[in-house]
Amino acid sequence: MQAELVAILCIILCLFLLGFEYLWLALLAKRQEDDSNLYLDAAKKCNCMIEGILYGPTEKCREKETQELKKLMGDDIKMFEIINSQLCYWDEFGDEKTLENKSEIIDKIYEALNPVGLCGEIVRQQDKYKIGYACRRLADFDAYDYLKDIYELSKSKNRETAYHAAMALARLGYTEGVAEFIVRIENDRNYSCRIVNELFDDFSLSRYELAKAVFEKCGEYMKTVVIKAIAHYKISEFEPMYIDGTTSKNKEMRVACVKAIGYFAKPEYEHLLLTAAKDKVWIVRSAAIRGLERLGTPGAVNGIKEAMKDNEWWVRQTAATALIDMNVNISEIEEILSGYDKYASDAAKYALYRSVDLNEKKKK
Amino acid sequence: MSFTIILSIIYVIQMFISFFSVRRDDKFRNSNDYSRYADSDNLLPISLLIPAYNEQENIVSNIKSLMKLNYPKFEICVVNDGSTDKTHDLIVEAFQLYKIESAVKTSIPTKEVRGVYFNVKYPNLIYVDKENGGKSDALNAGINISSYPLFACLDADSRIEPDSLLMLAIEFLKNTNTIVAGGLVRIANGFKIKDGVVSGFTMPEKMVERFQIVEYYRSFLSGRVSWGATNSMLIVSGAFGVFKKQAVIEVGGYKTNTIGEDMEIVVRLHRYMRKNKRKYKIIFCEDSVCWTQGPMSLKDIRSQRRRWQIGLLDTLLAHKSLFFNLRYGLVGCLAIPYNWFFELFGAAVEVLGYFIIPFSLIMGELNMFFFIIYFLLAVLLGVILSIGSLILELYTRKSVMTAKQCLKLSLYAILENFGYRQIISLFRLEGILKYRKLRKTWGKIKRKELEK
Repeated sequence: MQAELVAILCIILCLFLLGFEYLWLALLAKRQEDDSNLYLDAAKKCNCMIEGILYGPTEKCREKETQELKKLMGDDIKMFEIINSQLCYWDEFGDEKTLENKSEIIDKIYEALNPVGLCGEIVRQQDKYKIGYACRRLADFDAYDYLKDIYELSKSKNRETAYHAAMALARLGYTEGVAEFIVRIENDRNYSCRIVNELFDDFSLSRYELAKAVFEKCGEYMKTVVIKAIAHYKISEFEPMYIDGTTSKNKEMRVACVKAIGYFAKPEYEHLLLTAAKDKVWIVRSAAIRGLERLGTPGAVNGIKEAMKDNEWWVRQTAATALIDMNVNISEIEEILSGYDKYASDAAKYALYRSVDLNEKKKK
Repeated sequence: MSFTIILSIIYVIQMFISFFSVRRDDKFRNSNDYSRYADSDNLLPISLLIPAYNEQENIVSNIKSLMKLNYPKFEICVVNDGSTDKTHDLIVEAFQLYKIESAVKTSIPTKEVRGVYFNVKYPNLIYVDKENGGKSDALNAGINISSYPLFACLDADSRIEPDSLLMLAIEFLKNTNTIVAGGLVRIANGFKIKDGVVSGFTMPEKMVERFQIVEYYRSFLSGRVSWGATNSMLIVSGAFGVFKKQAVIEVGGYKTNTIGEDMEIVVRLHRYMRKNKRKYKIIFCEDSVCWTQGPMSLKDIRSQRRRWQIGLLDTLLAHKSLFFNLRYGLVGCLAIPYNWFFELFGAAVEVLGYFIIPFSLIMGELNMFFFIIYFLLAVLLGVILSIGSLILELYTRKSVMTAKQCLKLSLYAILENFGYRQIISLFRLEGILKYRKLRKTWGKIKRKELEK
């Protein structure tokens, strides 16, 4: 009897749960349908309103319409994003001839909508789900008033929040804050590499100053990560450090420095790159070939041709592609194609085939 | 019946785990602005591998659709696995490809490659024509020819949404220990799709298609999200998953003598990583969507489900040493035993029940009252689970269904318990029983052109 009672109770519980689920499903489905309709309508309405503001005959008309737009937006970030995308569109493709003061009006709309205030409120309320978005947006709008708040957030234990805050700091060009963040995540190798790249890419002030600040406090690992991240910016102040690094015992340091030296494409570094092209680690050799490709001197071409005999497939391919991309005299490649080294010949053929339009050749 | 109830309870627990995971992702959606990465050089380039065997209906439109993906650097490697239809001619003709001499690094041995084709006008498309060796062999050939550190395996008859690749690739940036990231596979039947973008939904005509929509939601949104959350997901759908190439090469590539290669490679990666005490992540990303066409007839469903069951058995047998092996953590102690008991033998126990219960009732061995109570309980738990999956579906916000359509679909969550589920169990059992006979055959499913 007891087992029967338990089973009946379970059924009642299941029915209750099912009823609850159905109600939830119905409400959620209805809400989503309403929401998508609402935003669709709002998008159309916003477009009309923005058009009304831009073509408004008087200042008063524009102000009135702007206030209406602000009312429509409320404190809904999704609605702001809809308006923002339309404003961006108007800014880029809007009618330049009739709307002479377009940019000025658009600036005024932004001023009235006050997205900085909206995002600032999210940051100060510490809304953990929207804080990342708010930090990024504040940086987009150069909201230096919130620099301190964002800096504090970059120390957050929540990785995502700290990451978004650091990205915002980079956009705002806060050297000390970003450097501090990079040093703090030095041992978190899971994500430090990609973040360092992103931070340097987004950094709005002197990357030299930022790298210098990081180098002063970080260890060897982070140093190599930073050198790789800034290699393509060709920061001349670091050239002596890069030169030293090409002979480092640490292979990652050698890769980073050879990569960085290669970007300078200076003939005086030819010997350094040629030496690196004979390194025992293939990644270093590959990085050196890319550098030699940028250099393009006769010595560099010979170095690359030599690398086509490399034991490592990747090095051979890199060298073959480099030769083709350098548009070297075809006779130099023919020599490899018909040479005794099958590996080199195959690599050259493959690279050559991928660079020539055989359909066009056939037509001719 | 107790077995069904226990299984349903496990599913309900999984659903709760998934719910919290999906809800959390939903709330963070504003902050995870992946579109910022759309033109970032920091994203790892990806090779898209498309094994094709007799795919003349969809292959060209699929390649064209992939070319429009929103991703900074990718290449498409189509591998024709000795098709006997017009697949080869159609691809060569559509993209005016010409044969080139290739220098391919053979990291994994494969059947003979007949030719590599290319056209400089489509620099990110490489086409490989090879001897027939099965899907795994084609994928291995694709891995050999690919030049990027990540690869995505895609089905020739599926469509991925334009931002899907971006979302999965970001997972490799967020955590460098990530070796596999799987996306959500959705049934395309009834959905209007153009270049991977869904614009509307009309309820599919056939009942089997409607049941499959509910079934896929349950399997992916409830099952995989929860396994992914605990880093013990054993399968990343062959239709859409991104892998770190080096990790796959290290384990020897895809196993060629199995039809469950998508599960086998993931289990092998788990095994290898745990055995070598290496940190790794195999994750599931429900926002990254791939659309695939579900079978439209019971005959095709039968062929598909038998194949899945054979693939499961094949993988579990190949890795039987993982069973309750503490060394392999949650994978060995939970995921593998769960798959043995519930996913593999579940079908057998269920079908056995269909015969034993009526027999016991007739013989008077089973109390009618008990039977009704337990039957109701089993059905109710099943329905709770399916409706829960529909709720999860709405939280992923990919749904283009109206509220009315969603509620209509929920009816199929109830109806599937009366007939469809039983038939599926029979097909699964058949797969186990015919394991030896069918383990090398693929079975072709009839499909329509996806975007028509």
